[in-house]
Parts: sequence; structure tokens; C-alpha cells
Amino acid sequence: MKTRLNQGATPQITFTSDFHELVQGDLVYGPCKLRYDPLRLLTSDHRGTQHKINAHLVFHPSGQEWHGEMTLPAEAPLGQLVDASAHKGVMLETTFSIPEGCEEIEAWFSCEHPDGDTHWDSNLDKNFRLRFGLHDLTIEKAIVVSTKKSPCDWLDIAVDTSSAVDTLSIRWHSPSHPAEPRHQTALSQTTQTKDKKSWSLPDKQIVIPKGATLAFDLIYTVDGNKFTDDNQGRWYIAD
Amino acid sequence: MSFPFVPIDQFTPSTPAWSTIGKIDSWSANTNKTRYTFVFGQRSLYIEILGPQSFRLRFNPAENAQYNYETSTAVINRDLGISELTITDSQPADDQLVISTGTIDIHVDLSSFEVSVYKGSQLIHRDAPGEGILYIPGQEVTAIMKSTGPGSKYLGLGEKAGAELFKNNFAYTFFNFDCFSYGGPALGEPGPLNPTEPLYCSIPFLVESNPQPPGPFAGSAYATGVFLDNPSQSYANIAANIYNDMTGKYYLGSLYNELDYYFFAGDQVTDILSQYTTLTGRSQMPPKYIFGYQQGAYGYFDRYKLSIAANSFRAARIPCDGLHIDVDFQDNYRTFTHSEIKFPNVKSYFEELHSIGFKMCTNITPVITDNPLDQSGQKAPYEQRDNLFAADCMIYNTRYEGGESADVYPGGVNYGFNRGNNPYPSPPLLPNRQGLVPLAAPGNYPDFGLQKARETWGEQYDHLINEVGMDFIWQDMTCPAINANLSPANVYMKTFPQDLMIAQEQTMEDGSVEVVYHPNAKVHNSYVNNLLDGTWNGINKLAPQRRNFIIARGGYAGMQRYAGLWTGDSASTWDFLKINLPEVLNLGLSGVPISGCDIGGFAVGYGPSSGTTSQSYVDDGEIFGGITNYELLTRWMQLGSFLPWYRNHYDGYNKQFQEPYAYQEPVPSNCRKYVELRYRMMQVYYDAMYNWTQTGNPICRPLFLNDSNDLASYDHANDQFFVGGDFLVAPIITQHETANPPTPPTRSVYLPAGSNWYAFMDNAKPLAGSVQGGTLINDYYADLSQVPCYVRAGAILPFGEVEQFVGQLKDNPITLNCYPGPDRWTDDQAYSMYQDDGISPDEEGTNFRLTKVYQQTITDSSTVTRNIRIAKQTDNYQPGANYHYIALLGSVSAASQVTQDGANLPNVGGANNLQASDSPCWYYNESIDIVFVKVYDDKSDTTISVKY
Repeated sequence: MKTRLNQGATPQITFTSDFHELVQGDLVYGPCKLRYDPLRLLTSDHRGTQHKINAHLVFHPSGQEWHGEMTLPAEAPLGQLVDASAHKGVMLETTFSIPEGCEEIEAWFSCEHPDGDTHWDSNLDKNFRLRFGLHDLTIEKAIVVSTKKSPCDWLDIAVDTSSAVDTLSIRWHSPSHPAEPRHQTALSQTTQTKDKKSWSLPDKQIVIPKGATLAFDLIYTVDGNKFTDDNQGRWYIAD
Repeated sequence: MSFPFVPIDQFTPSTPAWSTIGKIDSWSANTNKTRYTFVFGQRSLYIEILGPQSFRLRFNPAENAQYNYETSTAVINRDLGISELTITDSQPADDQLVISTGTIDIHVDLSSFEVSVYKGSQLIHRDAPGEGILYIPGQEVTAIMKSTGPGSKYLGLGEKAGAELFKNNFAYTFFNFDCFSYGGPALGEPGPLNPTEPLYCSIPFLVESNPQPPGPFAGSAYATGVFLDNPSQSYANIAANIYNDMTGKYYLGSLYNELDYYFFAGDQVTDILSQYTTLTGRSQMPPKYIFGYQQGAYGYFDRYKLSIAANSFRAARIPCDGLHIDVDFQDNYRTFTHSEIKFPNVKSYFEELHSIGFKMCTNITPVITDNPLDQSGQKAPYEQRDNLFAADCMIYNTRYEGGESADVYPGGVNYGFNRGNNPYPSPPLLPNRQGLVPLAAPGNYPDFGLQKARETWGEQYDHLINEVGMDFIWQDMTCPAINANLSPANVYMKTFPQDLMIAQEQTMEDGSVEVVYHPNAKVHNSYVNNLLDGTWNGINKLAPQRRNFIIARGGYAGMQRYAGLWTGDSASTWDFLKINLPEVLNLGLSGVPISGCDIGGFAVGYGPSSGTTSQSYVDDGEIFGGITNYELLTRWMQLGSFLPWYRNHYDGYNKQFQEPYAYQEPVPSNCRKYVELRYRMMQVYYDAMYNWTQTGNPICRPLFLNDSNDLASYDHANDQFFVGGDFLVAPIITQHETANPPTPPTRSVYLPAGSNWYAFMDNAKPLAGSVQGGTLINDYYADLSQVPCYVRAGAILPFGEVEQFVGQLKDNPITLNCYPGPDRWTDDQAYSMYQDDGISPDEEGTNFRLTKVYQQTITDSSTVTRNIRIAKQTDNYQPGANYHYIALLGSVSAASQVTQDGANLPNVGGANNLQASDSPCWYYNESIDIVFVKVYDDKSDTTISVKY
């Protein structure tokens, strides 16, 4: 089994100004830090003014809800809150508790402007769906196989997932051949039990030049929603 | 148990939860009366006399605590004159013990354990009545509450933000923190003007100066110092009413460990600095080139970028010694490596740069990346990582009371984003949807509390020092700075989690060393000193044939033994320029002689005082915009030219350029003028540095340090200063030409009483009449080509010729500029000039020449005679030029006679003849009113007499 970063670590979810939603750490029930860059909802025109940004969460499958205000850390100057010249806002923060049994978090944000309007950051009304790859996926192996006879190497990969996962694909590139494009290849489900599905690829479906390295992340869907496990932003390197 | 960062206003000694020591049950002294132990209940503390004017007080609030070990990374010498001391004690009353060193009397009230210090009958220091030592029983939280001396000014405290030199009426916390653009956790609105933020370097050393004490402290001027030696988060509050009434009081305190403080007394601040730097150590002379101009950029990412900078400096004739290459130099952010793709044939390339005078420096961060890929995207060995792991000296992911972990702690550094301006890959990452590639080094950290870690770390510089040709080291991210975006389990306040267990060495009474492990919260601020120790000893072993140097971002008390300090990630704002001077002056008053700010600001500016003229953007692989306002850059280059560490350094991933040559005229000319002056004044800086190695007196000094008898000099502390003893600088640090609307570039200049002053003409014009000391010159006009400077009457200032880099000229004769004024004819008054080759190590302290230069003016009814005596005190070094010049400024007429030791010297009539002469001679330059004399240094003691 491949060792993965932050296995068992306290979780943190970050919404960045460049519209990434980063899920870090593992699905550990209890406190989870939520960070939100206000530049997602505010512009430099709002510099120096205080706006109330609220987070709204629904925990699935229970449907339990949590709503709270995103607050400015004590150390953050209000003047920098949405100062675009600094290229980023100051992360607003809050901490909520992930309830027992939670598998997936649904999230959206609202911002009350002084004119009474409420602006929404809700993934175009679909809301953001967040899952923990460390909980959903186990990489049983990801090995670059090299044989003397073969002119190329190939990836031998096997992944176990929770039974909720509908599709799984690998997005890969070769760092040692940066001119080559990135590819995405679907994995095939091989077995299924009550709690687990196993996935793999036929031999030599992903081939790379002899001696090349292979980096990848995993894309999976649950109930039609897409999730990514990119090893906490670092990509996985095949053994 | 958690160990949270505690904001300043939540550290609240004297609230009801805190206890005082109270009544002492018994006391005892050791046989030679150097240590007095006081027992109350199950607790004890002791006072140890260290010298005639210093003591240490140590209190562990735990019951039955033992004081049989030492852990300080700051203190190296507790003998401050103890060996020649006879200590006596008396008990004039049942509840009073008086310990006398012969110089100070330490009064201990045994009914309340309050300590007072007297000098003769004059009270100079006391615990706050009813408070003194404060602690919370059952915890390690301690503080000492002291009375402020009425009228006292407080100084020091190391690296702190704020535009004021004096520390009065502010509160501070010490927690080594990556305070980017000084936007850190502050009381009130953060920013460079707010001194309450924790910064990169922690030196809880407070200096008090009381030039005219009234009331209960009435008597002669005095100074004191209190150094709280504690590497956990610590605090100082100097009469700042942030949670209750602190009027008339100050405290220093800490969250963990023992209360361990040192007290120093003296007549003036220099006495305090001498003792503190004896306690925490001074370095030997650094390489001379570090006083030259330095240029760095995060963004000199290959040899072509670097070559453009190097060649442009030489082409623009702007002197420059150091070139600083950031982590761009490394192979995929592997510490200790270089990139052969970006810097091919690096050794020969560096040899080329050396041949035109550059010294090379690179960023070494304590992270060891766990990325298995090198820059080519291949899995490649990482020798230095393997070595450190083989030595088993990494920090494990063991948490306080969490059981031992078999895994190393996973941390990492965030180096920002490649916005497309850097064409080199950093595998395995690819550009994201916005075209940005995160630049990062996830990885692990050595446990520098272990001797093995420090030794192994030091050995890893071998490639850089011996195979690449690196000259000196830039030690960055020393807190250590950890990527704030990591999982909260692995980062806290942008550094190690507080509960991460770190090694600490305890030196026992018998000299043996035991290793114990503490949560980071207890030892946090000392991590950097151990890192610097490893680097310093490592590079000295690898390059013993030369003097080495480290410029560090961060430190703890005592760091000056290893490194100079730059004040972190400044931004291009007028506020950062404003704080530069008080920050550097206070570092000098905290034992750190070499410090400076990243000139121009490292980061782009923001906010109302921003000097960043536009946002940057990337087009066709190049950064455009993000440029620092030319007026700000010019003024900063001017100020920096007079401060010990002179480096312009910027974020080239967000700024197009910041090198002075890259601006349009007149910026290069205005900057060049002061860089050149820096090089011509190199001997002045070098002499001031030597003076520090002997006395602890800083290179750059607030006015009152040299002129303590002038009370008004305390009123001009924030924007004027001295280089050495006699060269006064009053830089313009406010916006005028580009202000909206523009304002005249004027400022007031105060000239301390007790001396007369000459406007510095740089021997380009005759001296104007002297200005009486005590004068406040209003509306001194100084456009962008000028910095107001004055020279003390009677000063002797050695200048050299302009060089494009230190050592460029084989013969660079010194001109001893002798200003008219009061005699300097005694050994104490004479100017001390220190010369050596600037690079060879001199552990014995013998391979140098120390020359005393005296001057005196004798006036009789018909003649005026100015005598200059040059006497070599130590003469084990021969400079390239075997002669020097004497410039007698203020010679309103030609000399009638010039003699050397009674023998007439010829007047050769002009500068060219003087230069060409191979024997002593003189000439008079009427256009600048200076008699120049050429003197060969073939005599150990010679006197030149110039008669008018």
C-alpha cells in the first residue's frame, strides 16, 4: 500500500481566491478548520470595509446543517482584507465540527453587502461538494513496471475505494518528459464487496518511455459529483 | 495539553491568578559568596553575582526544583569580572539582606523578596513594590515586574517594528515568526509601524538609559540592562496600559521554562552593552566584503539573469560585492544543491564572477525536501538528505504526551508561485488553471538540538563551499517558516506545531551533556541559534582558510556570534523605510552589530504608504510592473549606505526590477554617489566593527550613545544617527517629490551639544564654518542627490579610494581626514584604525595593524601648528599601500612649514606630484582649503606638524 501524506491528520478545507477548493488532511470526526479567501466574493473596491461572510454546510448523508460566520484572524489587517495588489486576500477562518458518520460535506457561502444585497459563492447554485480522498481511496499499488524485453515501461496500479465511488480515473504525466501532455485514463472496476470496490488497469494501458517517472492524481465521482485526490496538492509519484 | 500562542494583552502578570514570592524562609550563600540561595516553602531561587555590576537571578516555579544544569543557547560566558571580586553581605535588619560587590549593592527584602540595586547611596533599579517576581503556581508562567526609572528611556529588545527608537509605552512579544510584510499578529492594526508583532528574531534584552534621574532615583546618570534568557514565547511591557495600569512599571515574562534573568548596571549604555556582549559573545572580524554593497533577488533563476545583474553593476560603475541567489539556485528546491540546468558549469562561472570581484551567496533553508524528483523529473539520489537521515538526526513526528512516532515530521516551505516568468520546471507540479505553479519544498527538518544534527548539517555545505565556490551563506526561514497551507496538524503560526517534540541539550554541573525533549513551545526561539551553530561550525571547518559569514533571517539572543541579521520580508512602503533606522539601531543596542533591511522592500507594497507604482503582470514569460517608486528606492539606498548591512533584495516573481542601474537617470547617479561614499568610508565601518569586537559598542549609534551628556540628543532618536563616533547622518526618509501634492525635501537636523559640527563636504568644497552643538537646523533642503551629514569638529576619519568591490585596488591608500577642532591627543581620544587583509581568519587576534591617530592644535601669537601623530599599537599586517595621506581640513591658508618628526617636508605643489612622490611631502589645495601630506608608514610612531 502506498504511503500517503496526512493520513489520519486533522482536516482543513480552503477556498482560494483562484477558485480552488482544497481538502487537506483526513476525514477525522471533530474539529475542522475552514478557510475562505474573501476575494472570491469581494473586490478591491471593498478594501477597508467590513463585510460579513457566512459559511453554510450540510453534512451527508445525515443532512445535518451548520452555519457560521467567517472571521478575520486576529493578526490580519483589515486594510489587506481584499487588497488585490497583494494578490490575495487575508484568509477568513472558522472551525466547525465534522459529525460522526459524515461522508461528504456540501458547502456554500453568502456575503451580506451594506446595501442589503446578498452575494453567493455556491458553485453556480450547485453548491460545492467536498470529500476526503484519504478516506475514500486506498492506493494498493502504483508501480512503474520495467522489463528488459519491453521497449517501454508501464504503470501497474490498483486502487480500493469506498463503495460509494461510481467512477475512478487516473490523471497522469511524466515529469521526466515535460513536453508530453497530461493524460486521463479511466480505471476499471474489478471487484466489489459491501464496503469496497477495487479498481485497476490492464497491463500496458499506460505506457511511458523507458526509465521515465510518472506523476498522477486520482479523479473520482460519487453520485455524479467529481472529486480529486492530488496527494494534498503534491501529486503521487509512482514507485 | 495545548500550547497556544498567547497574544500580548492576554499575558497578564499581577492579575489575581499570579503569586508573588512572599516571605523568604531561609537563605544561604556559598563559600565565596557568589551564589545566594533563597528558600520559601518548597520552592527556591538564587542570585548569582557575575561581576562588579551584574548578577543573575534564576527561579524555577516548580517545587523542589534543581538548578544543576544549563540549557542556554545565548549565554557563553558568565564571568563578567567575578574572579577579581570580593563580595560581602550584611543583614542590617532581619528582613533585609545586602549583597555588595564593591560597585553595586543588591538589597533583598526578605519579607517580600523584592530586589533593589544601589550604586553608593543612589537607587538605580528596583522591583515594583509588592510585585517583583510573579508566577502562576502549578504552571511555568513567570514574570519580573520592575519599577521604571523616572525619565528613563528604554531600548534594545532586538528586532521590533515601529518607527520609534525608544521602547517606552509599548508592549512586545517574542516568538520567532515569519512575519511577511510585517502583517503579523499585533495588538491593533498590524503593519510595520506596529511594534507589538512578533518578528523573526527574538532578543528579550532591555536596556535602560537614565541621563538625569529625579525623585527616588536622583543622582548621576545611570544605565541598566535586563536580559530574560528564555526561548519560549516571551513578553515585555514598558509601562503600556494594555490590560491594567502599568504606569511606572515594566515587566519581562515568559510562558514556559524557568525565570532566568541577568541584570547589568553601568554609568552609560555602552557599559551595559559591553557586559551583555561578554555574556552572549562577540564574533571575530567578519570578511571585509560584507560591508560592501549587496544585491539579491528572488528571481535570479539562471546564469543569464544573474549575469545581467553582475555585468550591469560593473557597466553602470555602481560598486557591488555580494550577489545573492535565492532558492532558484537549487535543483528542484533541494537544499544544499545547485541546478546544473540553470547554472551550468557553475564552478567556472563563479570563478568568472569572482574574477570581477563578486562574492556569491545563496539561500539555505533548514528544510530537506522529500520530493523524490530532481529538476529533470527523474527519481534521483539526494545525497545531503540521505546523510542527514543516516545520522538519524531528523525531527520525528512525536507529539507531547503522544508516544514516540516512527515517522519524521512532515513539514515544508512555501516559496510562492511561478507565474510563468520562470521557464524552469519544478516537477512533479504543472501549471494550474491560472497558469501558476506552486513553488514549494515539502519535507523534513533536522533536530538541531542534537550535536549530531548540527555537525551533520554543517558537513552538507561541502558541495556549495568546495565544489561550487560559494562565498557565504544566507540562512533563511529560520523560525523555521513552515507552509501555512499545510494541514493544521503540521503547522502552527507558520512554524512547527507547538506540541512537536524537539531536542534540547542540558549541560550538567560536571560538564556532561544530556539530551531531553521538549514541545516546540518551550524551545521555539532557540531553534535558530542551533541552526546557525551548525552552519557556522560547518562552513568554518570546510573553509578554514578564510573568514566566513552568515546573513540570517532570524535569531535569538547570542546570534551575533554566528551571523548578521536582515530584518525579514519588508515591503516597498514608506512605512518600512521609516522603521528601518530604529530597527537597526535597536539591534545594535541588542548585541547585533551587523543588520539591515532589504533595501527597496522585498515584497510589493500595499496600503496608504505603498511605494509600489503598479501591479505586476506576466507577458511572454517576463514580469512587468511591480516597480518600486524611484524616490523611495533612492532614499532607501541612501539610508542603507550608512547602515551596517547594505543589501537591496526583492521579489523578482512580483517585481520587474529593483537594481538601481535599471532605473532611468538620475536614479543610478544618485544611488551611485552614496554607494561610492560607502566604499570610500569602508575603513570607518571596519574600524567601528573592530571597536564592537572589543567593546560591544555598535557600528551605528543613536545620537545619545555618543553624546550622552546632551539631554536634547534623546529627542532626536528616530531619524538621525552616527556611523562610529563622529559621522552624523540625518537621512530623508519621507516622501516629497512624488507626494501628492509634492512637498520640498526638507527636514530638521539636530547637532548634539558639546561639540561643534561641520557640514560634510566630502573634500569637494571648502569646509563651511562650524555649527555650534545644540543647534537645531530647520528646513535642511536635500534633494534626491543629497543626504544631510555632519562631522564632529576634531574628528579623524579615514577614507579610501572608490573601488567597484572591496579589494579591487592593490594599493588603496588611506586618507586621514583631520577636521579642525578640539585636540585628540590622549590615547582615549585618539582614533583607532584597524587594518588587516579582510579575509584571512585570525583566531589568535594578531595578524593586523592597529594604528592610533592623534591630532592637536597649538596656537601662539604668530603661528598655528596642527600636529598629527600616527602610532602603531600592533603592527603585524602590511597594507598594499605603504603610505597614507593626511588631509588637514579647514586650512584656510597654505602651510608655512610641514615637518615629520622635526624634518622638513617639501611642498610638491599639486596632487599629481604628491601621488607620484616616493618620499614624504605635502601640497596645499586652495580650492578646498586642505593641506595634504603624504606619509610613508615606515615608522612605528611619527608626528607630522603643519605650521600656518
